[in-house]
Amino acid sequence: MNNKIIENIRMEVKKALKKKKVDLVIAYGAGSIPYKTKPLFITDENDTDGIIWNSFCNINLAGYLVKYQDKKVGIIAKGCDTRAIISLIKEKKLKRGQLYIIGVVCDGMIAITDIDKKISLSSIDSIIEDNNKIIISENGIKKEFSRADMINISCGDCNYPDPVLSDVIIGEKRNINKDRFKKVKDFEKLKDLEKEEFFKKEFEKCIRCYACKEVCPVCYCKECFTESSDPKWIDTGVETTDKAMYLLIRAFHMIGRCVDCGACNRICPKGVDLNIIMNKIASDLKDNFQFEAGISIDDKIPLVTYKEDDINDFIL
Amino acid sequence: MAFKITLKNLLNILNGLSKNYLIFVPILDNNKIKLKRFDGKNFYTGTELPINSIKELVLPQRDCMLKYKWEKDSGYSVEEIKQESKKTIVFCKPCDTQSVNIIDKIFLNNKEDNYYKEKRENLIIISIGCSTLCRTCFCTTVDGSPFNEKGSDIFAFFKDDSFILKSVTYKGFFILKNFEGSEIEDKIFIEERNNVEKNIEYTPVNIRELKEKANSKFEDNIWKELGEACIGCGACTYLCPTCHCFDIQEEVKKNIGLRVRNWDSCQFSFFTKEASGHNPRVSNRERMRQRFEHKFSYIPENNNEIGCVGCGRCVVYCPVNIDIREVIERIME
Repeated sequence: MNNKIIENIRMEVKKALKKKKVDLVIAYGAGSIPYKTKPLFITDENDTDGIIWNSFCNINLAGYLVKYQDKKVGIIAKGCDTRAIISLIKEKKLKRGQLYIIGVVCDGMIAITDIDKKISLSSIDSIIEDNNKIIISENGIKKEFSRADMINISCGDCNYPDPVLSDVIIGEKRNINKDRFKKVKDFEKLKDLEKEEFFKKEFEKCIRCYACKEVCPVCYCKECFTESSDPKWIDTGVETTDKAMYLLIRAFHMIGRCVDCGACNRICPKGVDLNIIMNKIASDLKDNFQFEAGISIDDKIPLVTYKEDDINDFIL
Repeated sequence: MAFKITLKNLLNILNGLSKNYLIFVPILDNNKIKLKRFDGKNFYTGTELPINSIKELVLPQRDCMLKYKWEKDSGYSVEEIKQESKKTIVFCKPCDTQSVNIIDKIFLNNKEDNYYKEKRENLIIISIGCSTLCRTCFCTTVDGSPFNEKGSDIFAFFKDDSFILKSVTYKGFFILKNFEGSEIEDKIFIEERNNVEKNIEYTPVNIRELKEKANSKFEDNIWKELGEACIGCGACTYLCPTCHCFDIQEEVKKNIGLRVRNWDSCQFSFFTKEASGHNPRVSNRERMRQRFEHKFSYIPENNNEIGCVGCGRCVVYCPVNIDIREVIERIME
């Protein structure tokens, strides 16, 4: 199944480069280990053989687009990635006309922390995907897992596997209509102490490597709040409160902009549950402004838009 | 003098030692192997490396250096923070042991770093030899070996249900006295080493060649290619057992301040940003080049050893799959 998709992606990339629609295409290539992929920056139409597509296309390639503001760029984009592109276009970091979006319908991605829940990473020889099964060979012995069991939590609740903005779509649309905020609503029902314990445990894992921030397509500030030394907004240390400040302030900066693509959650080396934080801000945004980021290229971002009929319930 | 003890006995001995020593062991915690304080019963004995390395024990991610305050009547005062490190025993793999050897030279040669020295002197390293290599580790490429005793105080390995250990240094000998078990001949170490090594393909890279080639490739295109993919996070540097860059910060609240040393990463865009606003390492290309030149050219030049121990943590966790093994291959071309 994946093979057909890969063939089609390569064909589209070839076409786009040949017809000079774009100067460059950003795609996924095979990683040096079975559960990883790497970004490819292709400028030659004959260089498409390295392009692949599998359940390990974890990063959001839209993150690279901001570096190419003056170029015509093609990009392989999952449903969530296309939504990030919408966010970037709205923020005037990109123009629709400069992009050739090769959208691919996504079945969900598997992160390292999803794999090491089931099997030790150190002895994985190969991984084969067969429809709804993931077959992992460990020291020569094959072990089968169900895809549904291994998909990352950020993908499990996803409502937008189908590209929302694209020039071409590869794969059959899935037309999902889930309650993507169920997890957050359930979590909100927990007692305060339980929530505190949960977050303490999650924040403690964080090592402030900033992988989450750097992989995020809408985190493109030339000087991030974490880098400022005057004023020093937050300390650079690793007390749990410092970590909480970093993670939560970043979440606040994402309101209305984060499309909940889950890339941050999937690439965190320590498996910090970032999904629940990003999901929560999306949920609050929906509740308060009836808005979901990255769905439509025309709707206005609520936090930067004045509305006469704003209920203004924060004004006492 | 070598001893053979059962796993059960090992746990008992560690419980006994816990009274006077801090003990760090690899454990399975929430699906991840981590290096943590011994809890009395858990000890992971498998192939996988803990995600955190023993670097944390000699160079903590946050280390308080001094306290200072200002009081209206007495003015300024500075208080040195007593380094209260207890004697610490850590169980780790030979690659992590080697990484501390490398960092030792940086913090102890020439001027000694007191904060590092105190922790280092109190650290007793028990290297556990690996019976197989992981898919991602490559110590043999960078002049290491799964049964390398160098730098450890005690060298050990697991065999069937036993733990076999011997002292390598006097520090180790002193601790070994606590490990009662059946005495065993030293030659078992040589036998086991041969056993392990015969299944491994050794492809060590020549350090002088690596250094010269890395140096000559300073302007090579490879750095631009890697820089294109690199997103500029610090995952590789923070997980790396050899990376040791730090940042000294003042944490001040009203009239009390704390000077702390935190980890820093040369991969962060602002690492070399100067007060003028100029940044000599302005893009990921320069920063990628710095990291690899540091490991394969500068450390070999200064200390005659390769600045990478082949643990493979960066290979597993780099979000964009920049593989240091491929970089070594490209450099050696």
